[in-house]
Amino acid sequence: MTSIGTGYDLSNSVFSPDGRNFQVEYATKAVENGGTSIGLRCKDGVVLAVEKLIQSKLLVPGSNKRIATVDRHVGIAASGLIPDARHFTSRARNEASSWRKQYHGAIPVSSLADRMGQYTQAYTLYSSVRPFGVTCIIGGVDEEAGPSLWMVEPSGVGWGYFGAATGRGRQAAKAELEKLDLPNLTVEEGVKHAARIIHIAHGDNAGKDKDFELEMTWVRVDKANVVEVTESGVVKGHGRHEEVPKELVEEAEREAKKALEVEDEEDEKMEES
Amino acid sequence: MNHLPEAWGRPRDDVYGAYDHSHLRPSMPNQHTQEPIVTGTSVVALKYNGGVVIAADNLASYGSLARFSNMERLKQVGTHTVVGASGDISDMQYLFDTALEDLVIKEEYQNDGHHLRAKHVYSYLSRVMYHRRNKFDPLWNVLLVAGWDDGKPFLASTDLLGTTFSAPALASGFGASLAVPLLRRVCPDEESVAKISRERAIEAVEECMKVLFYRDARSTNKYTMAIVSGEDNKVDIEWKKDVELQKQSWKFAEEIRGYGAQIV
Amino acid sequence: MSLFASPSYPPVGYAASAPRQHAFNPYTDNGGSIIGIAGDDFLIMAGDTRHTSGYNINSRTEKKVFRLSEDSTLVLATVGFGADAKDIAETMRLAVNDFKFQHNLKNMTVQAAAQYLFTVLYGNRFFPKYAYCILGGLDKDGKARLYSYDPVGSYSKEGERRAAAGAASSLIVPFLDNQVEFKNQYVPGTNFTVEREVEYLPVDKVKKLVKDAFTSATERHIEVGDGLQLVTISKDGYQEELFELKKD
Repeated sequence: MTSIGTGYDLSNSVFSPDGRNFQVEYATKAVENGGTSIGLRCKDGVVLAVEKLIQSKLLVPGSNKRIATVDRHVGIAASGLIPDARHFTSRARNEASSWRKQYHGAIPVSSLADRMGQYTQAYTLYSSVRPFGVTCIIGGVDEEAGPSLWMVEPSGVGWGYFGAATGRGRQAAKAELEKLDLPNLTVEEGVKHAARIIHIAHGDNAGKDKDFELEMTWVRVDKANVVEVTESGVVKGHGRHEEVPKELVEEAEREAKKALEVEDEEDEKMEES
Repeated sequence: MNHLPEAWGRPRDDVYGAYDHSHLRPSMPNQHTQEPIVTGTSVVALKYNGGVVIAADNLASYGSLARFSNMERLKQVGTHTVVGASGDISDMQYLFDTALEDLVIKEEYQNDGHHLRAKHVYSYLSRVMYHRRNKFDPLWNVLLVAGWDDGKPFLASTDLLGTTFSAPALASGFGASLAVPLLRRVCPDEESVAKISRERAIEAVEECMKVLFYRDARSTNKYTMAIVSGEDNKVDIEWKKDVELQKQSWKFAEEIRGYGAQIV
Repeated sequence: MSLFASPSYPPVGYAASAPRQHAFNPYTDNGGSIIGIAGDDFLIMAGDTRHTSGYNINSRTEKKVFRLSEDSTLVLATVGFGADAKDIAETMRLAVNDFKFQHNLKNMTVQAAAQYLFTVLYGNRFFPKYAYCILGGLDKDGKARLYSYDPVGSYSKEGERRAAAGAASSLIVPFLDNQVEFKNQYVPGTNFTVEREVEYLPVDKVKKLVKDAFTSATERHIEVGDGLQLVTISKDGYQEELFELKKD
């Protein structure tokens, strides 16, 4: 870190001579230390998954949920500082709620992501505040675009993705996501992959001996709410964000572990030969 | 520059002068609802052994003008509850589309497996109604809340004053005079709820809708019925929409004297 | 022409052309009656369970006597405008519960609850809660205490032996005057010169009086009837009974 000691990292909103905003970069570091979060935009819905690191054995299993419901059709998975993620979610809820009050309908996921991007960016402009120490994956299904997946970073940048990953295991997760044919996957298939990817990402980084819980939600459209199914099978309509049923998660995790074991064995064979 | 977030995006005081807050304040006093404008008539509901039947016709009147003939006046709230509204339609739409939607979505934030049941929805609504009457800005409605709660059928009423009460048979508006006596013949008290079948309850409510159509000039012959039924903690809500009144008989009209063409 | 000769009537149709004012009336009367009678070491609180709007019976099973907490002897009966009545009961219930947590699990004394109820009611002096309240409980010596209030909070700190409020109070009060305070009762053989001395009544006698009061009020008042909720507070705790009243 050559920047340390130069003074350009002491206040937010200050540029260094080579055009960097160090506070934002440090915020990104905070994200890189957090548990992995991923999102998959499938053709009939969106899957969100997080690697929730267990901070203490005294915590009740399944407590301290990390994926939040923002509106009926939108969920947010976040990596980084948990309190910052809570504040981000709370703002997103207000945005979604006020959209409903003003326009009498559900906020499109892209509009929500855009607004949250602007909100996040405002926290890079003033010395009286600090940037968000989180990268948030916003997933949802709306009537205009169908399944949508957006990722907003501490800088305020927000892009739409087919597959998004953030947190400490993002590199491995991205590598795995790139292998998938996401536009043609169903949500059910997405759940299996998501479980596997979180397990891979967990094994790939420093915290691998720490226990973790796999938390997974999806956004799908109830039959009655489908407004359009495009030729390529993209389902549009007012989605519903909810936890993936326990049995499905358990099954996906079993398969994920099995797949990993097979991979390990193959690796060993390769090494032997 | 003021770096506090609440000042973000405001014109600079030193350039444009301080913001004149009086622009935000209306120069006239607030107008509160003094009377209902577009209105819905009676809502009728009856408990039975295993649930509640609730019905309301699909008419919204503007005075004596039948303004909208496809107005839905029943709303499902969460998984356990149906709310029916009579009175002012715009106030109903505020409650149904804004207040109750908000309530249900905010409940989902918790994601703790808890769902609002009928008595929670009812408590919320009655507090909102009472709060608004305290502000002299009432929501001009009578609301019936029907649902399944704690293994029992639930039925209760609240109105523009925040008055609350519960009974095995309830009806608002004209129905309080015309339907309740008919329903009480079927179900005089809480004990008799156990003796009433689903079919009997539906039949009784259908009969009430018919009588109301005969005698209430602000009613129509098309209505919605919802049947909330439960077993332990499992709830099912059946919807019958666009139901037309069956087997009408206007024979009784011949007996009516004093109106129309007849001389004696 | 004098002023008296030509009174200026408004033109015909004036009333219809003027802007129609339909003021919102925030009150209604939901009928019913309540009674409270204090014995020496017990208390009876009672109310009918009819709830009305005008000539309509809304419900036959709405209770008017509220237990303010599970572990105190405090009981409140309210009657008048149902929404205000229930709001006061709920405010008192929350206050009694809150007091316990704020004061090391000690319950509010009945005297304190009485003064608090005054504060609640008088606090709404300029938009009164249209409800008549009767508050009762046992004091630290186990003696019954009974207080009754008007809608803006007036009450007697000394408490009273009996109270009645609501639709049929004008029918019930004179009956209780005679039967509880022995008004117009004289010692036999004294030629109406020696008044009968007031004494505490036994619990079964009081229950009988309350039931008689309500059956009689039901006969004569259309807003009273359906059911009788009768609550007894004594050293044995809280006991609630329900009796039938005529439903016509």
